[in-house]
Amino acid sequence: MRLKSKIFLAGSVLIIILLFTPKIINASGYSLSIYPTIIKIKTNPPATVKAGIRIKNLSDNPVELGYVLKPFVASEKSSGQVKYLLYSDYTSKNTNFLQGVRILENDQTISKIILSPKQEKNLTIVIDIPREEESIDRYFSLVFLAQNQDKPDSSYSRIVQGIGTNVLISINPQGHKAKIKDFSTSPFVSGGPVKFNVKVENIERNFINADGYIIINNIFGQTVGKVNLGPRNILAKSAVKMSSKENNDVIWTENFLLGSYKAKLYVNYDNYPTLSEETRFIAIPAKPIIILTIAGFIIIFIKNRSKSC
Amino acid sequence: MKITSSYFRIVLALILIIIAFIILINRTLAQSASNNSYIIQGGEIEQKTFTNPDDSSTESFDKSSDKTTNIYFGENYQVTAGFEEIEDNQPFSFSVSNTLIDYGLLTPTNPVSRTTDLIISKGSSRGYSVFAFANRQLSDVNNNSIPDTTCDNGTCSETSSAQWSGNLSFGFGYRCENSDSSGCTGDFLKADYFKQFANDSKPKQYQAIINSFDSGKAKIEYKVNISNNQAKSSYSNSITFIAIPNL
Repeated sequence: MRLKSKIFLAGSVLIIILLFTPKIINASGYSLSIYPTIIKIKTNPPATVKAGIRIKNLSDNPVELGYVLKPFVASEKSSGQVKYLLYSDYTSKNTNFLQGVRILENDQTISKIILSPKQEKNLTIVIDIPREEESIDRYFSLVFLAQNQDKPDSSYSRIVQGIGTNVLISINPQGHKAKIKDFSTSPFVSGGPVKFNVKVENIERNFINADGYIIINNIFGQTVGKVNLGPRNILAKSAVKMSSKENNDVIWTENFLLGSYKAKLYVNYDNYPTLSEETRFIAIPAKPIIILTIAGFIIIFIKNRSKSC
Repeated sequence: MKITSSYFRIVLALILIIIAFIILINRTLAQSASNNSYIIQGGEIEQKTFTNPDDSSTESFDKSSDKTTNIYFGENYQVTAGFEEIEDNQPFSFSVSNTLIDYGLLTPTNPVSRTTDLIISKGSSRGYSVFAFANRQLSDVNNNSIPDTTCDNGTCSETSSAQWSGNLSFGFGYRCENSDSSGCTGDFLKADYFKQFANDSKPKQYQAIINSFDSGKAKIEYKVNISNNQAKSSYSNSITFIAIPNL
């Protein structure tokens, strides 16, 4: 009897603990990777374009992914960012075009993907472009979305994680034409590094890939510096601030500068003739000059004092 | 007269030193030479072999650097995967530390703050952006909702930030803090500056909350504060973060 009551008591305590222990929710996050970071397509329809995409679950939990296609235009910030169209701004042409985009896994069209921990899958994006498709560029992001389905009793925000890659498509690409919209720097500098503003505008209807470099010559015509520009994709009828290969700004890192300099920018795009433009700046190292001048006056003063003594 | 002549000599010496500086300090790059008509650019000479466009789904190969340029050809099309001049083909990755933000039981004039870490590895991209938006305001099953914050002075929105530190300013908002060089937008440089999430149901333009060239980590702080008039209930919404490489 005593044993039975002990078992009953232990059972009751266990039930109470189970009832009142907060529900455990697996709210740990996801980690995903995608490759490539951009897909650029040039086509003369009719075509069924195929391109490979790798997506990997880097976390220790399985994840179910859906995907969406989000059309975009170039951001007004000219920084290489995209600007997504609002659903209300979609045209029937946008919608019809996106209906021709499918994702395949093992040659089967899918709407969802399940990735085990650390699993990587090779997918194929297939874009059907009919012969009568309008000869313009189409840009969209393919975004994979993961979300937690747990539902706590209290107030909460469910986090949806999205990772994507950009797809640029030129349909019946014509000629490409670009121009240097801005190449400038401060006309007077007291020393390096020198920051250049470089903006390239694509004035045609198809995206281009631009890169280039800046050669800096001193007052004697000697080449004293070179800055390589990283590649940028410039969407149709838009302008982009170029950046160096190493960071987001175009910077000549030379520190000691003196005199007049000429900087010449060369921009290449899609195997077209190189564009070029020049700018000049004058470097006056005010601090060293002031120090040298003061030192000169001190020497004169000491010399005169010693002679008068 | 003596003073003038010694002064003149010192000034002359200084000018000579400066000229010597100009000539000696500037290095000449042997890799390039130019005049008004031409420029010869040295360095690695790339030798590219492109495949016959008739061969479907083949890959071009850069012989000089052993780098795959990922150019594919199919019937009536050409695909370039990745940035041509970036040699490695590292994937772009995005991690979110938690997928559910539990605010617990909300009580009037007691602000609740929660955080999420976002970690982005740029891989072989040239920078990236993280866009954020909410599907709706924090709402309950009866369509009662907690409004998006307008901050202490009533001016913050999804596009502009403002200070939100008072317990009598109500609503729901967020701020982005750099854990390292992650590139949270300049809206959050000052402490206690918050914004609203863009509301996808209105619809509002998605806002980039991070724009960076380098891999990094950011902390998103969510804040919710309700007034005495707010109905006691459980409120919820979805917040989407989309990480996307820049062009």
